[in-house]
Amino acid sequence: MNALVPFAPVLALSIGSLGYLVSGQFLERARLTSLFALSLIAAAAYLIVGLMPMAPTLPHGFIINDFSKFFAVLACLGAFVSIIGTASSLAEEKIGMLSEYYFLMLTSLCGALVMIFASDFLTLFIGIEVASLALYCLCGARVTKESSSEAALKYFLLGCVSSAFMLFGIALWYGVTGGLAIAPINTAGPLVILSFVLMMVGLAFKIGLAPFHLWVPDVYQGAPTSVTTYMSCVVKVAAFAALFKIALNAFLLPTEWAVGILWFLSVLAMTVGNLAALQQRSVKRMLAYSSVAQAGYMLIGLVVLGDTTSVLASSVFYLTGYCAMTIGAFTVLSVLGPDADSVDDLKGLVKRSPFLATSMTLFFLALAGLPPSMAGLMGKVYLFTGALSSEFYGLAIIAVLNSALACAYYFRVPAAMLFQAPPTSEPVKVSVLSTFALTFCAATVIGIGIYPEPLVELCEAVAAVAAR
Amino acid sequence: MDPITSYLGIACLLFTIGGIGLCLRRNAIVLFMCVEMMLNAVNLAFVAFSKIHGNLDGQVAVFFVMVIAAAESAIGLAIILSVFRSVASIETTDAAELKW
Repeated sequence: MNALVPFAPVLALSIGSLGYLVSGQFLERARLTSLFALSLIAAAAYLIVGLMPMAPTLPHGFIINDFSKFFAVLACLGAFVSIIGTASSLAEEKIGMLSEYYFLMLTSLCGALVMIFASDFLTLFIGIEVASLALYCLCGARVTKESSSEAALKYFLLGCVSSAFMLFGIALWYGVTGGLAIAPINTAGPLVILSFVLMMVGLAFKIGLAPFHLWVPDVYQGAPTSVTTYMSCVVKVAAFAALFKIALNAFLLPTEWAVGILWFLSVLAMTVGNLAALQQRSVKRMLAYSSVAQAGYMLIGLVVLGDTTSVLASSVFYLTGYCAMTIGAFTVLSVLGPDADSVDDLKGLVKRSPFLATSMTLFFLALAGLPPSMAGLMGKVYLFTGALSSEFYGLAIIAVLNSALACAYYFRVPAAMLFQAPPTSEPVKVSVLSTFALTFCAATVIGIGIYPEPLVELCEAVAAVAAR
Repeated sequence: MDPITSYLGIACLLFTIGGIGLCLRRNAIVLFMCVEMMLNAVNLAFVAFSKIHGNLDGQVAVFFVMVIAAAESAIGLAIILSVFRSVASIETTDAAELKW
């Protein structure tokens, strides 16, 4: 039985989620469905926290350390808050069967946890696929809506291609090392570089880094808002965990060629993401392009990685804050209704619901990296000063210019909400659950800015384990 | 040429053909077949490397990839069907409501 202990969280989620498939109508009642999913996720998070650190051993394929535990808890927390925030808007989205919806969501979270815990490439790949296959279905969950199926098709085709690239990278890794473990490589050569590049292509697709971001805006816009809320956080967390693990533990960054590739990806992602977001009228697409740019900032920690791990810790810190901001912003959109998308839908929101308008303003200011929500500001300052002190002047300058440019579109939404006349004066009803989720996100965004020490220390510890 | 290296050459060739097909074709099912071809190219590479190293890890990986490819086709065909229901076509150029 002891052999099963490391798998306890994943087993709890996967076996528990089967309850949805066998229970039929019993779990179809809206309150009960979300409650069951939330309790399973809470149980998984509890089990993760209780796991003992464990070195990777062969039959397991799992590694349990502070790094994987932190990311796993973050993924569970993100899934938990996004389910609370969007549960009450599911009925309006006309998602077919609620029990299937939650089954797929828990399966996808299960895959994300496998990605985070994996200690060999095959387990990692299976985790990626389990997480993605469930998400492809979830994107098409609004069966009556054309854009939802279209988003599912685009996500599916591009996702499969990225998996194929990732897999070819894994095959090359196997060819070079003769094994599938994520272990330090002791040879160099063109095949190693090619393997790294192919794996980066695969992961950059999943994270949504330019130039592999083409699916991001379409899927974020076409998928049901509740699914977008979930994936904007959980997929990013899992994919970044996999990226950090592969880059640091297998390819032993920093090496000169790898830093060059990552520098290019980071700069391209922030520039392309911000320039494309500038032209959007759709808030979902704007947030999607902004997520591309934000992923570029988060990559800085890996680019400038020197002897110290403090900049990597800043990346982890920024990722944590970003999760709260993006879940919050998408939750506000889902409260406004299944088809609320354009900036016009948000006009004069402050008169219809001061709470929603205030929290949305807070999240957008945080994404722009401005006070009063200090999380975005602190994260950016940590990252950019880290880049400067490691003598990556070009990267730091481009990043600062980009975050100045980004303000132009981040201000557009709060301005529309606060200063323009609302199309109707009908107040927006916010359910208790959504209020709770939004308050939690807002408190996190403000809280980790005002009192960042505990999280900073945690991130430092996580980064130190990751880079070991 | 060493026979095992030629297997790797064929794997690369198949992978490239799949990639070119993805860029050129617009029919969702053909695109999906191209992806399957890329996955099978990787399988061939796994088996060839397995022979070179003399261990079975690569061949075991092939089984996993095959199962995943089967799951992918189940979901992929369902999604293509759902697109066909809403736009009555499986050309990716016809399902183009979302664009910037």
